[in-house]
Amino acid sequence: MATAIRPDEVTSVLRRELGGFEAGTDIYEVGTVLQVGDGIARLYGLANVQAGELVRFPRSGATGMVLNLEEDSVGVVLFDNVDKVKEGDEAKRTERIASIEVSEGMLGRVIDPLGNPVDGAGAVSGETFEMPLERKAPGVIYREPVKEPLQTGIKAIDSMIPIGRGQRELVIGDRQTGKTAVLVDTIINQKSTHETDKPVFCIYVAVGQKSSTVAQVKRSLEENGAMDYTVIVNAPASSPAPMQFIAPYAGTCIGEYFRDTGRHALIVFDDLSKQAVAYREVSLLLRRPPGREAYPGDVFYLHSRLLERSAKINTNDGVASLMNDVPNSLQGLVKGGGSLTALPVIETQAGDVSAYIPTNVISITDGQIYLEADLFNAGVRPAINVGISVSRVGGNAQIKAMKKVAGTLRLDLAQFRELEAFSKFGSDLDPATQRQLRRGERLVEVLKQGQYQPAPVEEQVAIIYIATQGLLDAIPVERVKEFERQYVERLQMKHEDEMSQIRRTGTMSDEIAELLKKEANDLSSLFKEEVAV
Amino acid sequence: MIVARRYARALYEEGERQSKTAAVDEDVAVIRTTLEASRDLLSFFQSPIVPAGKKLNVVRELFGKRVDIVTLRFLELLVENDREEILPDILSAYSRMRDEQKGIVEAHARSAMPMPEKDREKLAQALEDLTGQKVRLHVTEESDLVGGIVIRIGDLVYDASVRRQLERLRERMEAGSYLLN
Repeated sequence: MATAIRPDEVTSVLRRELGGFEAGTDIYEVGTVLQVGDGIARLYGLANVQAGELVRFPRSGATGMVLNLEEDSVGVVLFDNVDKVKEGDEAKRTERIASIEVSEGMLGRVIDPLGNPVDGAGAVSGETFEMPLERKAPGVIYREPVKEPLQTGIKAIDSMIPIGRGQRELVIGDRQTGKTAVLVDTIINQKSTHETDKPVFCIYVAVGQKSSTVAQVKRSLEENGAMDYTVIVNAPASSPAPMQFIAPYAGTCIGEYFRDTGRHALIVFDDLSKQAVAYREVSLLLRRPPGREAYPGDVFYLHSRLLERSAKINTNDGVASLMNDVPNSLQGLVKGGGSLTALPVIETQAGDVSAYIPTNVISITDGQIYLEADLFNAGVRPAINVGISVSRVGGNAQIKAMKKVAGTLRLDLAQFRELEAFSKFGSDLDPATQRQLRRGERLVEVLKQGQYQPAPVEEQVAIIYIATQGLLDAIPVERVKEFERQYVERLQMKHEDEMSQIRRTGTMSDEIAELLKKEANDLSSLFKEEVAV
Repeated sequence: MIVARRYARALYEEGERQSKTAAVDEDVAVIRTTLEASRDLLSFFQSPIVPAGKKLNVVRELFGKRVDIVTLRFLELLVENDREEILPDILSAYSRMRDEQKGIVEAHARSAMPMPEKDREKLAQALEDLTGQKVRLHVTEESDLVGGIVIRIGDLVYDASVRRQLERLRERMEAGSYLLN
C-alpha cells in the first residue's frame, strides 16, 4: 500500500493531463457588485442569469445563489465568505442551477448543504450524481399508495399512529418535549432493516441547531450502530441564513437519489420552524414584501414543494422510468418501488398549534404526532398525546398482527382519558369504571419507553396484546415496567422461533397468541406473590 | 437608475421632436466633460445645502451660451425637480441609450503587454465582425494577466489571458486528483 510513487509515473501523469488540456478563449458572463451587506449582494449586469443559478465571486472566493431578478439589478444570497465580498467586485455566472453532488459515500458522513464534508474525515468518496436542489415532485401516475410499514420502534407510534414508507408525518410540540428523541430512535430502529432486502437509509437534516446538539445526535447514532446508514446534513445556527434555508432541500436531494433508484429512505427535518425563520430573514433582506408574522407570502410553498418530494414510487420499473423531471445524472438508472418518508419537526410556542407555520405544515403532511409538555413532565415519555395525534395512512401501513392487537388499544385509552378526572375518587366508583381505570393506567405504563430503546415489532405486538387482554391488570402499576422487561426477555430466550415468525409473516396465529398469554400468566403469578397486600 | 433613464429618454425625445438631436448629443458630451474636469462643480450640484436659486444661476451662467436651449431648459427642469444630483447618471444613461440606438458598443480590453496602434485597429475590426455592431475600444494595460488579453463587452467577457489558462489548468488538476486516490 505504501509503495512510493516513482518520479517518472508522476511525470507521465502530469504530461497526460497537460497534453489533454486545450488552451482556448474562456467566455463567461459577469456582473458587478453594487451593494453588499447582511449576506445579500446586489449586482449590476448578468443580464442572462437564471433564477436559482449559482454565481461565483472570483476575488473573494464567495459563492451565491441568484434569488431576485429585477429590472436593474440581480439579488444574490451569499453562502460563504460573506464578509469578504466588496462593492465593485466581479461576479461570474457558473451556468449551474443550484445543485448538490450526491454519492453513496455520504452515508456515515456529516455534510453541509452544499455537499462539502464538515466532519474532518476527508473528501466524500464514490461516484457522484448531480441532483438539483429545486425539482418538481413526481406526478400522480408515478406514485403508489403507501402500504409498507416504516417501524419507528416506538410502541405508541407503531400501534396507534403507524407510519408507512412514503408518508409525511409531522412531529410537533413545544421545546424540550422529546421531538428529536423520537427522530433519533426511529433512525436507530432502521438498523434491522439492513438485514432484509429492503433497507432504509436515513438522512438527518439539522437546521439552525447548536453544533453541540448535532454532535450529540451523531454520537448517539454511532453508539447505536446507526451512523453507517445515515447522512447528517448540517446547517448550524452559526451558518448564514441561505444555508439554513436550503438545507432541507439538499437533504431531499440525497433522499431522492435513493427513492429514484428503487430504494427506501427516511428523512427527518429538525426543524422546519427554523428553516421558515431563515427564509423569512433572506426574503426580508431581499426586500420582498412581508406577510403574516412577517413571513414572506410564499412560505407555504417553501414547505409544500419540499414535502411533496417525499413519496412512494410506483413499483413498476417501466412506469417509474418515465417519471417527470428526472435529473440528467439519473437518466437510465431509475427504478420503481422506492420511497422517501419524511418526518418534519415543527416547534410550537406554548402549545399553539393554530399559529401560522404549524397550521401550514399540518395541512401539508399526512398526519401529525403531538408531543405535550404536560405529559412529559408527568413522566409519560415519549410524551405523545394519542388522542389528537393522527396518521392519515393508518392501518394500511401496519402488519396484520399489530393491526389486530392495536385495534382495542386506542379505544381503551380514549375511554380511560374520559374517566381520568374521576380517578381521584378512588374506591368510591363502580367496579366497571374502576376496571377501566386500572386497564388504562397499565396501558399508559406499557406505552412508556426509554430513549435509545426502540422495540422490534414482534415484541411490541406481544406486550400490547397481553396488556389489552387484561393480563396486566393484577400487577401493581409501578411494577409493570419491570414485568415488561422480564416478559420480553423470556420470550426472546424461550420462544425465539415464534417471535421471528411474527416478524417475518406479519401475522400472529392463534397458537402463538395462546403461548403469549400463557407466558404472561406464568410470569404474573411471580409478580403477584411478591406484592404484600 | 430608473429615474435617470426616464430623464435621459425625455431629453432625447424632446431633442428628436425639435430635430435638434445632433446638438443635444454634443451638449451632453460637453456637460459630461465639464463635470469630469471639475470636482467642485459636481459637488456643487450634489450638495443639498445649496439653494435651488443659486444652482439655477450657475447653470445659466456656465451653460447658457454654450448649449442649445433644449438642453438648458432640461438642466433648469432638473434643478426645479430637485433631481440635479443624478445628473451624472442621466448623462451616462443618455450616452448609453444613444449608443444602443446607433448600434455602437463599448469594449474594454485589458492587455498584458502594451498594444501598438496597428493591433488595436485589428482588434476593433475583429470585434466589430464578432458583434455585428460598431465598437468603441478602450485599451488598458494589466501585467497581472501574464500574457494575452481580456475583452469585456457589456456583460460578456472574452478571456484569452494566460492567467485564466493557468487557473483552468489548476482547477482541472484539483478536480482530477489522480495522485491522491
